[in-house]
Amino acid sequence: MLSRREVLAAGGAALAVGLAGCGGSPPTPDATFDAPTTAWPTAGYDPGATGHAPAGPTEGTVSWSVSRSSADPPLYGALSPPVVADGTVYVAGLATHYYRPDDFVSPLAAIDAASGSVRWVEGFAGGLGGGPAVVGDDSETVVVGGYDGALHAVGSDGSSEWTADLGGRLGTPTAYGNRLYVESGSGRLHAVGSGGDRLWAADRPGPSELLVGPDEPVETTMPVADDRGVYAAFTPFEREREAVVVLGYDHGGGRRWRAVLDGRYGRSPNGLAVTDDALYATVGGTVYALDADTGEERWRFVTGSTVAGPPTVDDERVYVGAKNLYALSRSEGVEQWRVVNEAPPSHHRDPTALPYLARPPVADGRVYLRTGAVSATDGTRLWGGDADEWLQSGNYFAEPYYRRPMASPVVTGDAMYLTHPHRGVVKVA
Amino acid sequence: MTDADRRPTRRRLLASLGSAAAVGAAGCLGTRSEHNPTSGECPEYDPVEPATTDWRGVLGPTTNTGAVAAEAVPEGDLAIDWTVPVETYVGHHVPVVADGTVYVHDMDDELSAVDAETGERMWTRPLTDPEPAPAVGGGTLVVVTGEETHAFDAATGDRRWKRDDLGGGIFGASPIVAGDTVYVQSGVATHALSRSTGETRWRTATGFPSDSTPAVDGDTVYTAGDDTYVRALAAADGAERWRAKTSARIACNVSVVAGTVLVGTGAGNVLGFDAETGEERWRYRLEPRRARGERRPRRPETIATDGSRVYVATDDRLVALALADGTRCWDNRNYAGGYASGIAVGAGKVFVPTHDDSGGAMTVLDAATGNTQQELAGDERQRFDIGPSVAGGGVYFAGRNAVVRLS
Repeated sequence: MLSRREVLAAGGAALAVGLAGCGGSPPTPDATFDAPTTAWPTAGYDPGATGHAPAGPTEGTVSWSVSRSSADPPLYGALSPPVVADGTVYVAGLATHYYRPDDFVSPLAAIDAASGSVRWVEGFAGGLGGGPAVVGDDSETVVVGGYDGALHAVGSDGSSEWTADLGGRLGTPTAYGNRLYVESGSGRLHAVGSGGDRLWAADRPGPSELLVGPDEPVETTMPVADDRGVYAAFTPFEREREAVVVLGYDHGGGRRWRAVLDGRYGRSPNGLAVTDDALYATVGGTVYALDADTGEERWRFVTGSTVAGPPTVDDERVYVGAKNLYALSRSEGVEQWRVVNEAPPSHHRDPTALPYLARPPVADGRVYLRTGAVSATDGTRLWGGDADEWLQSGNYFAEPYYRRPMASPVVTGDAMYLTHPHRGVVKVA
Repeated sequence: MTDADRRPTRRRLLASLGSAAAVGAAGCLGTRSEHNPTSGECPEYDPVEPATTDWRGVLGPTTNTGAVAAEAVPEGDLAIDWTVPVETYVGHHVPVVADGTVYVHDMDDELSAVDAETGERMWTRPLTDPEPAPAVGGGTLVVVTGEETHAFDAATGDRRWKRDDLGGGIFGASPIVAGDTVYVQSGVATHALSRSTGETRWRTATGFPSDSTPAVDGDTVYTAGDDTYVRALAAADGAERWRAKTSARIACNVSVVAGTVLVGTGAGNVLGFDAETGEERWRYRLEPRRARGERRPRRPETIATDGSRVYVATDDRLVALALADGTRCWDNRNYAGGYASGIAVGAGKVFVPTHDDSGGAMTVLDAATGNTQQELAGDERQRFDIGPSVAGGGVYFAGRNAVVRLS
């Protein structure tokens, strides 16, 4: 049965769609992204999650690191990739299988980007389901999604600004102009204003969902947005099928198209990125390019891996960590180069190296990988390394890192920030 | 209507059953479709006579054709010459045969050499967890175990060298000995080792494991694996000559004959590539399996070829395609696929393990027509699950704690 909240939410979406139908084009939020060189405000950098920044560091060594235990409360949980805004690095510790949400207080830490001193750590009882996003004209608000369905907004001083009770386990939000898009673990896409006002919610489609109820958890990924609308992906109910559904919405919540990606090897929606000409998606270990206007498939590239990270895109290529780091041509999905990853085939073989699975930021002809960068043109290592030796410290279990990235970097014009399960939060500059 | 008119029509009809569903509304009965763009006319059977009379690796020669010279193939109906007990809790792998000696291991703790004529054991030695089929060349026997790669003097069983960093698996690639080089798929790379010392000559990593036994033809090594690509590497230094992308992992062996490189992918496609350029010449899509309303690819597990036909084994059937264009010529639906079941071809005959009413059998097929020439049922003492290999006038199988020679 649908709960009252869901009926109301569905009604809201229908109303929004209805209005859009009458008035022609749906309301398009004002969303100018000014491509900052001093910030990486959301997980994917920009609303399209291209991971393509105008500038990044050309060399660097470890400048500072904040260990998990040095913060109070400690930075436990699966560390999200950092976001950076207004001289501050924000990192969330997510609830996982190992940090059970029923008794885990997720930390959200604010760290001074220059000095590495911890400004504050806020705890969220019940756990966080996704990483932070910074919104607002003055980067004054940090938003994180809870396992309990609450979207939390925190001021840059750590004080609570607002909470929106959306329901479901919330993932990482995307900021688009003055609004946020976030998907719940039940596959429902929410549009929320920067003041916490709920604009609309769109349920995932399908008859089985209506029968079983939309709160059944599914795997989702962070939505991405452009001026045409917003894009979301989830794994549908028929769990034995290797398929992911991708949906294109307009900014009013009306659905533009639906695509089913039934690629081989893995069925998790591992990330989206949208550009002027295409929507790129990783499903399991397969990379897809879809027509962003119709959802029609343009090409697919089967890496052979079962897992992969989100894609990033610059003018020439799509980059994805899928065990190896791959660069594919945007137009045809043809491999241009790869950085071979030497980790053994399975985590059972005592790996001293781990797969490349993080979103690979790209800036000014460099693709950032672990603690350095490779050339975007040919994949040769420019500086830094894999930091596999960092594994040798701490309680090392390889198994989780064959599913999730070991080191997730982001960049600003002069520095690289990354989270690492054994080193905590690290600045390389 | 004469028989001559009817036969190709009927064959075409049967051949089309697999792809008819895929063609669907197109409504024609031929095999021509997006996936199988051939006319359905199987060209004349015209095999290339190979030179080899030994069976030196899991699929015979270093080209993995599973084909031997006519002189190596016994004439007439086969009968058992001898059986040699090889007790094991684990299983067997395909026997390899060179210079009158048969090499077998028990996948557990022992490696043996057996006289091909008499079935007498020439030597045995302990060996922990031998996994895929061995390979032999230049008097050196190479065995990959779960954790290591070993080389022995093929005549005496004395150890030549060991690599404790290169292991394999039961379902993994077998080693290949070609000239003075040993090729091993291990970890996430292809390794070329000196046959005499075991030292690495070169190593090329794709980042993914490979269960696909590579093929070596002249100065080129053809590899495939979970990476989804087929690659031609220079035997001298591992430099990539070409690569071709496929849409799925490749676990089936690579095979090369008459300028064509053959692979089968996990998506159920068999592909033929130009060995010089890597250009795709044809592809054939195996009929998918239907289960609970879903279509699942039928995965190629072994590929052999005699230069006229391509023999593709899945877990439940053997399909013969024309090497020239991938047209299906015939199939056999009694094929008994297992972890180490194979194909051997020579003198116009195809030797395969099959199912019969009593469980398992050894079957000889006519290569041109697919007709069964002989079917020999296994019994309580002897089965024919593993193999075959054909060498020096004998056919070898393993199964149920014994290795058998027939001629």
